[in-house]
Amino acid sequence: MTTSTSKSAEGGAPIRIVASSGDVEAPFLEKAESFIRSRTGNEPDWLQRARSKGLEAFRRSGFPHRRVEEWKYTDLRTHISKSDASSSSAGHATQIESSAFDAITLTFVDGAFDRAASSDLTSLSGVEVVMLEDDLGALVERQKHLLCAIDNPVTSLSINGLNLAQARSGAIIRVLPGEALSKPIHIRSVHTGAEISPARHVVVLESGARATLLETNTGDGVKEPALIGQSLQIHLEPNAELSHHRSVGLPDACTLLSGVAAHLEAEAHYAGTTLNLGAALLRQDTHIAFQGEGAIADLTGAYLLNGNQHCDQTIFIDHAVPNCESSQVFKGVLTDRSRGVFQGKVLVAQDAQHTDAHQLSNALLLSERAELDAKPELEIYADDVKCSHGSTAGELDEDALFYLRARGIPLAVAKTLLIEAFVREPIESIKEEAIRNIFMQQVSEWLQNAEVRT
Amino acid sequence: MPAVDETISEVKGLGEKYKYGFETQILSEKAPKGLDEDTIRFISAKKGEPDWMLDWRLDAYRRWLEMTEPKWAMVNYPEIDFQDAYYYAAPKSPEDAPQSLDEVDPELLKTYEKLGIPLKEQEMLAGVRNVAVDAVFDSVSVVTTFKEKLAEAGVIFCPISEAVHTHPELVKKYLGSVVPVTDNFYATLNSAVFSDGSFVYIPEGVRCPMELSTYFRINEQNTGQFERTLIIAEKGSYVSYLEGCTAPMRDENQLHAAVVELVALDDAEIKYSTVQNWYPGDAEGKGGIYNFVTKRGDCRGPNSKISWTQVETGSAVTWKYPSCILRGDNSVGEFYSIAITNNYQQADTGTKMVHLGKNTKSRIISKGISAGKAQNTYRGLVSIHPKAKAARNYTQCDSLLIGDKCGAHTVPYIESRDPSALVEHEATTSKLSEEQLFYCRQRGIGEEEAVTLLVNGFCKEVLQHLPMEFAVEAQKLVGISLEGSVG
Repeated sequence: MTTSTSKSAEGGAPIRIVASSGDVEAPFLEKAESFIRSRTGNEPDWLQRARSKGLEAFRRSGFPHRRVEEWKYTDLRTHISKSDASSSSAGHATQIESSAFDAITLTFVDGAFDRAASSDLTSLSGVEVVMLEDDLGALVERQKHLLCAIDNPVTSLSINGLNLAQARSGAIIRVLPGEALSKPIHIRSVHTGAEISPARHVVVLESGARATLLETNTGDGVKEPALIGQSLQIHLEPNAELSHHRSVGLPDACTLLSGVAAHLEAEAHYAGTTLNLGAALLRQDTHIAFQGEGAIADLTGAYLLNGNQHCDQTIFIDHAVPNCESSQVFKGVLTDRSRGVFQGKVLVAQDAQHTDAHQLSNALLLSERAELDAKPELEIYADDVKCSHGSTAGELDEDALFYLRARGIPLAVAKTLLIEAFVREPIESIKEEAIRNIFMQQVSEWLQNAEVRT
Repeated sequence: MPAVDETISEVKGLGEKYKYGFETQILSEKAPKGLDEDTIRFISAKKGEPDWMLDWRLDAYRRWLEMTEPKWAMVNYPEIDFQDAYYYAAPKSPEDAPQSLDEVDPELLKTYEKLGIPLKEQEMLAGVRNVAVDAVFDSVSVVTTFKEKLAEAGVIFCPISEAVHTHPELVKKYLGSVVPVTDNFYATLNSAVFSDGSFVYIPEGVRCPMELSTYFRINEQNTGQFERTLIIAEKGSYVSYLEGCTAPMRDENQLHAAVVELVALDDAEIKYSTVQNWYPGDAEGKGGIYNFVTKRGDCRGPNSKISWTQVETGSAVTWKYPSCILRGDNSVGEFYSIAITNNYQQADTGTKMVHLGKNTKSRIISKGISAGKAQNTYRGLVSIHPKAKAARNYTQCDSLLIGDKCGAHTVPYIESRDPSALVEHEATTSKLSEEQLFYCRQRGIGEEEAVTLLVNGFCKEVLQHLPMEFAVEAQKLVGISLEGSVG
């Protein structure tokens, strides 16, 4: 069933998760069931049990409805139930070739690990990489726990459950204590249009470890509507540092549901950057849980959308302990009939004194039919904290445009310059030069292709 | 023995049994407990309402039955049993009222004193017997002059129950046109059982010669529970309306659900100021009013303006979002709010600015102060529709936390569907600056006084939008509301 009455801040129906009527979920349930059966005997019991639990969670509530507050602005059910693959345009992102820079490359084709196109996992030092379909006997408890955890306040239990139930593959990565990886780990997801299965990755950085993780999503071959599910569970032990960069450039046939949950122990540092250049519908859930004092999480991102693309950034930062810092800076460029959603929530618990949390969402609306919905939320129970949020939405600054044009720069070039400058901030925060350059190049290409010129 | 005495002695003999019968007699001024269609017919009949009004109420009631209570606000309170309440009570008989101020709760009097309310006025507020409202303003002549002046200008200012009879065409046209009957659970309940409230009509081109206040409207007592206010500003007119007063208000009814509707036609301006100081419950969080209010203004004509200013210090639970629908081109909506919660109070308040017309502008300044174990939430919506070319919004929400057991939350919804619109939102949360407190203390200012001073500074931007009469008292009220929050 689809209900599209938007719930106002004052009136409206109470939040109620409507049990699914079944038509949207049925094929997913069927597929997951037969998949779990096929894995019986091929994987440990604890994983089988967890998969069944995940499937139950999905069976209970199905895909979230718009009446679920976290999904107010993203109508996933209707989107999935629509089966026509109208106006399938190619993604703008350049294929990031693994040869572009030296990395530990893990290639997933349609969700399945492609050993031939990946680095040799047996010759790595400082890091252990195990695939979900491989022998899981060597996993430590923490990895098992993360792999099976579906309870996360941002990603709905049912979506996370479905991901666990259906995940065919995924990288389970563990960086050993004190190791600083010289090469980034690159999880490269390529989609060809064949049947896509969800992936489930786990990354643990043990105390004092340092690593860079790059995730890319491309899929120029996809023509039929495809739902891609990805989950990444991160745990940073004390003093660990992770730079995590994501780039998505998928054609309009794709829907990507991506969930990241990061748990930070004392003095850990997580720096996450996302660059989203599309997918028909892209929902990125990010959950940061502070578990030890002195930890820092910096989240930045840019999204550039055209056509009917819909990009939803939903972030939940849980300041459960004192003395942690978090920041969010997100920039959006919306053209055509695209729609950007930013929902960022910061929760500061009563004990979490001396929290420093900042949140900023800026969006450029460049078309009459583009839409931005922002909900920057603060929930604060501690008094000695510094928390702020800001949100703006508007078009390009006329004075700036005039300034450039007065100096003989054509309108189209002036616009491109200003947009580029606008989205640069989050990308510039990437420390690794090679990755930063690739992201900037993707932005430039998008701008060249985009119809922002008038 | 005269017949009467005989009856009395007989009655005495009946003892217990008759006691209930006797009570029933008093209760005839009250609708029986609970809510059904008969209760609504009773209310309507008591007010001698025409059939169309009764039908309107009944229709609302039938729709209300199918609705459920909203649960999304960040407030917690025990389930309300809507059948365990009275929905109509005639004004109290003088016999029930205190005979003099000596009989009034000394706590209440202390507060009056701190607010600097004159003795006569205190008597009226406490409901002391035989004090006419006129007396408050020294003489009947004030009220008379006041009425004459309004009549001269053509302004209609009367209880809405009176307007139903005297101006049915206006009531029919505008009632429920801003807040539809089925808008939300509490608005629908109000539509079914509303007790009374103000009706204001400002004719074309008239600038209302004085600030209108519920203070002046005789017949004011006991309309608090389900108040219904309707203000219509015709083309080019102006009115400033004051609701409530700074003095603490006690009420036996725990549930309050008011509806306020404002209509501003072309070039008209309405300024609506509220000071809400209903009983917040004691320091342990027992008792207190549940205040579920729906307030909305409709800038129907071009160049119209609606400005809400509110100082919310009372009630155990507040649920209130004075909103503006900016329909006319170039119309302006403003929302200035101070919400103070202390002890166990909970407030979930904010505004909605719905931009529909071209060049519409809105401004939101919200100051939330949370102390003790209170929870204070700003919840607001700014919505820019595709036709609202060059719309402009500026929002600033600041929260101040006093003590480490309270909470301050901000939940803004921003929806922009027009590229030429500019929407800005800023929010901060901080605690009372220890340096500033120290500075004041060092200069010999007592701790509570210093807190009051600093909080008043924090709220200054909003306080200056209150009409003069309110501003001075509101400043004192800020201090009183925060009593016991430090040290």
